[in-house]
Amino acid sequence: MTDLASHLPVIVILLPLLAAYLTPVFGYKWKGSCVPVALAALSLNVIFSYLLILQVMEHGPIHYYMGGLPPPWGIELVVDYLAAYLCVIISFVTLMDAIFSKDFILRTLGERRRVYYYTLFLLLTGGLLGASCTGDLFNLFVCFEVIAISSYALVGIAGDGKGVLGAYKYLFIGAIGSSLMLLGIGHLYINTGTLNMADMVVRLVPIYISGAILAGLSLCVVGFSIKGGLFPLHIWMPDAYAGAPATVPVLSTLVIKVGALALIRLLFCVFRPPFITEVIPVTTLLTWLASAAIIICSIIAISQQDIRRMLAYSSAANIGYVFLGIGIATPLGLEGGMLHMLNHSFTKACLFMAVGAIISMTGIYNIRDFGGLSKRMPITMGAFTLAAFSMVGIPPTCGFMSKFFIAHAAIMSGTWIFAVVLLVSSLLNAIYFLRVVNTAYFGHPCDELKRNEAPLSMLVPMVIMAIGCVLLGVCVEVPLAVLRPAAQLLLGV
Amino acid sequence: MKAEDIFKDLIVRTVARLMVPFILLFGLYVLLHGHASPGGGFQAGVIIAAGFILMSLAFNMDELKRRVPLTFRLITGSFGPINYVVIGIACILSGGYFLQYGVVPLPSLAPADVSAVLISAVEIGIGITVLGMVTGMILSMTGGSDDHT
Repeated sequence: MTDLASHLPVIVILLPLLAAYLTPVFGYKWKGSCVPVALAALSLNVIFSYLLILQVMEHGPIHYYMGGLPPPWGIELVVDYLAAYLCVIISFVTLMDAIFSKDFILRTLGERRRVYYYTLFLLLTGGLLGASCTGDLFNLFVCFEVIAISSYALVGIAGDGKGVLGAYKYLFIGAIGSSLMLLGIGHLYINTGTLNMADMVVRLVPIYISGAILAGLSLCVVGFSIKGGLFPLHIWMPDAYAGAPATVPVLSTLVIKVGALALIRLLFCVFRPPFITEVIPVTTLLTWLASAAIIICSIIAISQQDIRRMLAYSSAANIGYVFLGIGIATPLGLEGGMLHMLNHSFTKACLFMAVGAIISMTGIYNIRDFGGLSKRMPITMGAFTLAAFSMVGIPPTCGFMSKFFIAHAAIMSGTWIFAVVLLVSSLLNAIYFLRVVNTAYFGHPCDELKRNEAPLSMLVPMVIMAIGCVLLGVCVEVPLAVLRPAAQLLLGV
Repeated sequence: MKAEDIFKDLIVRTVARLMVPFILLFGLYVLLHGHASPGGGFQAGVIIAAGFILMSLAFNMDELKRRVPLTFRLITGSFGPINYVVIGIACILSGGYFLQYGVVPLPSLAPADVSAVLISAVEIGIGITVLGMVTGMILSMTGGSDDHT
């Protein structure tokens, strides 16, 4: 067991957590040291998660026993296809975000708070990776608490009125979500006597239709939906996104993906498909809520003037696509939903980085003032436009691919209405994103047109993300190679 | 009367002076028995921090701030998790799973004893971290903290 390759699951989680605790110690003496520590940890993490996904692709899901104790007693880490896939997304996007934060946070928060920022950032990363890899329901809850507490603090880190209000709102709703999760997990634990997901599947079968199990299921579904920002429970997003520094929403898009992953785990790994699709049709409920999210949040996004709030509503609509894919519950639908996790992470990261650069360089966040921005910040606006196209779903970009998959799945499963929802939402997306692009390129410039481009440390991750939006659309087979077995494993076909 | 003088009466001070050594001793007991009985690092850290807080309430908040400065709190706050990871990695390097204490070759100890020693080491780290953090929280709440930027 001495070769490190077999310990990759735990190393991937530990590395950011260790770095999180090293940053305040080094950062107290040398304030600049937090950046190299964070970047080193996150770069290593990208390599390790890449090795992890290669290992999973080759040998199938990896089971890792913490402390050497076998599953029903010990805590088990399970890295299946979906978990490895999310690990790669999380490591890569957080690395890019950390590079972007280097100058951005220095400008917005100052040198001292940047140390705390990176501490919380790395803690959140560790929590995200932990929640993706765990095979234990209670451990999942603990990781969600790590995520939640560090993201409340990150949202309010600027300490100004808007940030604190956003964090407060997020804290209230998030705490309710956590309590519901805990209650639900408690119900399942009391009735089955186990917290291990694989073990719980077996023990749940004879007692499926008991009130306590159904209560546990519904409490968990609501709790995870709050974390995932599903439609009626997304109300924490706009304030939290608008109040936080623009790098935090990038992390938050990952948080809602992990919320969706937890729901997938609950619905497809703990409860099995015939039960959640036919006996208690949770998935049908999910599809309708997701459709409502897609349409209603897109319409609200059109009415927003603050670009950060617009992007927040767009996120709430986009998590709807993910849930719609999950809710359709066919292999194709799941593939589409999971593909959209990747695509939305890249696209939204690029959009928020561009908005962060714009706010940091010019102070503009109202869409009406965007006139002439294409001349002042040509590269930033170029990246923004590319990502906006991907959001709308214009063919060579990745947004088109996932929407296409979900629409295809909807038609194949006979629920035409969802394909219509997707089409309508693409039009709505076009309205609110192209409005911004139109103002920036052809709008009346407000003041001087001096070129004022963001520094290189902000441009590089932003441009990489924008290129990623196109590349992922062209090379869609690469993620699908992981997602096909993932969907088959989840549906048990 | 100043806010700090509220508790400066003889009874509070005398009782605090009598109780604090026992609180600290009880904290140490809970800490060192954590691997075999109810208790452990978190509880012990809170108990020991409670002793510090009682002292500072009875005597002087500035004294607590002077004795537990920000550097100390930052380092203790990070010590526990780092210690935990280091011990976990030591288990991996000795050929076991993460936190499989028994495999670490400590001289002249049976595997079960090695587990007890290493669990205690992890718990002591956690205790120190909780001690630093709880004291830091009290200092933040009373406004005595020096880390407001």
